[in-house]
Amino acid sequence: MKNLKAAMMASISEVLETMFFISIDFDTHKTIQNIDIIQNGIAMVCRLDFTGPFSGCFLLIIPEKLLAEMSQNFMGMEQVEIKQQHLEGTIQELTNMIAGNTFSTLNDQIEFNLSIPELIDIQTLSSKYMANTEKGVEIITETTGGFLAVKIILYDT
Amino acid sequence: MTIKILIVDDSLPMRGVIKKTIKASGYTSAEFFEAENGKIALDILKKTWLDIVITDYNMPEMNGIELIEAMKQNDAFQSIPVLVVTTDGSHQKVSEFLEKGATAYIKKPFTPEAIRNKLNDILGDMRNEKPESSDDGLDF
Repeated sequence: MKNLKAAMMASISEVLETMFFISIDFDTHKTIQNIDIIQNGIAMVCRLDFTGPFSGCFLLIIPEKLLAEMSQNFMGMEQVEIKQQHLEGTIQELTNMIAGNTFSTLNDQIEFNLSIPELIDIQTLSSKYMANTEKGVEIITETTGGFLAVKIILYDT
Repeated sequence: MTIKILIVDDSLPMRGVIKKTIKASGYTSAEFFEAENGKIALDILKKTWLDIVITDYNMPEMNGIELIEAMKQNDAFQSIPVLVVTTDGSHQKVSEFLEKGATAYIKKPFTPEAIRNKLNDILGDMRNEKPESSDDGLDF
């Protein structure tokens, strides 16, 4: 679990800095429950399932305002040009890159199969994926534009 | 000479990023075609001669490996170079891409330099201009 957490952090740093030109810090004291992105209901959530030596799902939660800024950085577009499809495409690609990069950082000799990332609504996130009984890791990342959260839930095999 | 490039990726933003990066690499007059998956890519290939195909792996309908397999089975497409750009970085998967006939491979996240270097390796120096030293994060 410790290795998985380190791989997730390395992956998040590399993806955000290389593709989105964003500097980040990890906040090890906060949890998804006590940052306000879920309570405000203004975040977008993306889910990606994976199978391999262990199986589970990745969840990426980003406030819409931060996601809009990231979309601008990513595509080199102006704020007024950013449409819903750009936001959705950006969060899906971000989830895909963080997940894939996490697994190759963890061990590039092992193959994982990743699903196509899908958007889920924030109510589904709260009701289905936020139980404290879940086995997994969550990483809270602070950027100049706010917090984003990545959670990996591991399924029992 | 105009280079014709097909970008195959189900992500609209990623297609835009790859296109922007290629232009900033000096291929300013390249003509771009875009497809959301391998099936659409094959339709474009049937209608247009292309210099290179740049494809993702994980896509709905037809993934990148299935696209490469289909291209290699067709006399008209089998010589077109294929650059795979994907998040899947496992040794097994990279070997599979190359065994199926991919010309080269780039792992996401990628730097602009990685795209530029691979394109130059594959296409030779077919750039129209020297790469930009841009202020939008695409410094070379």
